[in-house]
Amino acid sequence: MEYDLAEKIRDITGENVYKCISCARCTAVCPVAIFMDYLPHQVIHLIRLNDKKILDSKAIWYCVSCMYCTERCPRNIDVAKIMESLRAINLRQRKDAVKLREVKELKELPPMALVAAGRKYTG
Amino acid sequence: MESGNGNNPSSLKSKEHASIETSLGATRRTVTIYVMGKGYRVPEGLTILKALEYIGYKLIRGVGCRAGFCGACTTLWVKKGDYKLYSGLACQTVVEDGMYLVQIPFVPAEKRKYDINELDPTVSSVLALYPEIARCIGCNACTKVCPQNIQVMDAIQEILRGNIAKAARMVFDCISCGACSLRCPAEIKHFHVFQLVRRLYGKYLAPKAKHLELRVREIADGKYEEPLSKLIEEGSERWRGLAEKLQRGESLEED
Amino acid sequence: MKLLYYPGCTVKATATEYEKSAVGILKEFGIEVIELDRWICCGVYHGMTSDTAYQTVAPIRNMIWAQEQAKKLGINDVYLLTVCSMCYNTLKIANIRYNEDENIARRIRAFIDDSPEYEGKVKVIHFMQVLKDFIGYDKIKERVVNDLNGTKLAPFYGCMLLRPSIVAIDNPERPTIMQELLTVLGAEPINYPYTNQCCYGYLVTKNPELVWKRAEEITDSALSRGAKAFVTTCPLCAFNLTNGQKNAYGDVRLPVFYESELVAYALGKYEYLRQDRLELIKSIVKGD
Repeated sequence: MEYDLAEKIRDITGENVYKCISCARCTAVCPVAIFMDYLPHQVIHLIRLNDKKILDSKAIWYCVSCMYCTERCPRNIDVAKIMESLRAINLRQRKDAVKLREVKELKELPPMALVAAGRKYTG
Repeated sequence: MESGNGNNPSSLKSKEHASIETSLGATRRTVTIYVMGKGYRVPEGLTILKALEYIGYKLIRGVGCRAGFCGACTTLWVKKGDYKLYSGLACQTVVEDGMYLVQIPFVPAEKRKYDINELDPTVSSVLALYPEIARCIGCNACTKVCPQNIQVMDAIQEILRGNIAKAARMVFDCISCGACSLRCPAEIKHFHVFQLVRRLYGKYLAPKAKHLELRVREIADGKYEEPLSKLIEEGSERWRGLAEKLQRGESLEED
Repeated sequence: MKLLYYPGCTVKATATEYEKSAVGILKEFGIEVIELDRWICCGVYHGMTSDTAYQTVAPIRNMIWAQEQAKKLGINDVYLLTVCSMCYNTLKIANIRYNEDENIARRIRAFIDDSPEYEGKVKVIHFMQVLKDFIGYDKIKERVVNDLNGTKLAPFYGCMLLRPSIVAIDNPERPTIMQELLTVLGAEPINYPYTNQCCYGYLVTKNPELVWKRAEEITDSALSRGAKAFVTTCPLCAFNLTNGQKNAYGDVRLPVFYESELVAYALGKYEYLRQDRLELIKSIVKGD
């Protein structure tokens, strides 16, 4: 079904990606930006361009919800929330990022890590 | 199985209305129930199970002990004007007018393979086998559908809280019907998790029956070999004699 | 003072030393810590999608049980204590969401039909805030008997106590609340760029090798400034930093302590410390 990505993100998060001025502060503070195929400020831009390939990117699964991007954004955009909505679009279509039973060291992990993985990586 | 035609007295099309005359000439009031969407009139006071058989269903699945213990006949139903989902065992639940029901004879669920000797009674052991319990969002759908009135969500959460013993005791009445797993948005297979927890409790946490251990050791040491072999040799006449003696209230000391 | 307490699943499983020391210390200062009779896993993240309510259900259930237990105990101003910073963040944001978004509040009230309604009055606080605002650092300083000997410690706040700013217990960019506490205990908190950075959290379930590298990076930075240990408020940070070092160096060069353990040690209250943890603290503080 055809939809406009920016509109859908607005429905899910209430955030308006058109406020972004591409200052790239979010990218500057992101602790996992170095692993991403698209940097946080590029992710926002791709949403504006309605480019759905961002939904298949690796970037959204590296995000660890540290909220630093949201903290730094001069336009008060909740960037972390937007990242979450891209994950949510995938998870709601049953496209999980991780198979819980295949997580390594299941027995040693603190339960909160599994709970977080359950919420963020599985739908 | 055959159901509902004009000749079947339970059919809504049949000429009988609010009551049914039994073969002994008594009249029973009827209620209307809907089985998988099709309506039938059945005598009131029957259990769902009996009502299904009255209608003409021959059950080979979804039926078991008929005594409220095995969990095979789990049934879900809704009532008119009420959005809630109700559950119960067909063999124990009396029909109500307007019940709109279906049986759940089977719920698909994988039981993980494990060696109980290699586990310890902690939440980490349970999470290692069933990590999906970490996905519990506290919606309580499981508790609402449990036909045994178990606090299912609380039991899962007690496991997450590390109280394996408490969780095991809470789920004693579980009959593994699986209705909870059907409703769970996190796809938890509660009854398998609960079985694991009960086993962990029984093996590691429950107080040991010392007299049982003693007796098992006595048997292994051969304490009862001789009297048993003697009994077997002497044959059934001797047993009958001993049994009669016991019945008369006499002691078996010298025997 | 009676304080209702929400432990969270991890504190009961792999971080029991955190609870033991924190609850014990509060008892020393006349605060009776009462664990909630009924609580469920908070869900770790409050749920960052505004169109769904399901992630907020579990936190609000906990608020309701806190509210009801407070009524039974006759507590009027209801605070809910957390020690795990993740639980703090999740419960607090869910609380704020319920109070500010009437739409979500209505949906949740309609869904939770088996409990009294949540009135929105429970206040979520973290252990660090209790130390600073309820007890006061000067009161703690008075009772220090085992000064931490000027030992250099690396405060590691992680993310959840400081971000997003609506829940921050201190300035998110330049927090000082933990450094102040460590100074009061007689230690020397070091200044290093990772003090309020992320340990990579739940990425450990997907790409653990990246987490181990991150722990190495953070540890190298702290080591280069002479730190002897990390101090943290989050069991996941503790796990990632500890296991990360094991995987990166082969052993743990900077052990990770919870702030409550150091308070317990400094106050000479060894009964609130697990034996192995006590030995570890001793070895760090006495100098090696």
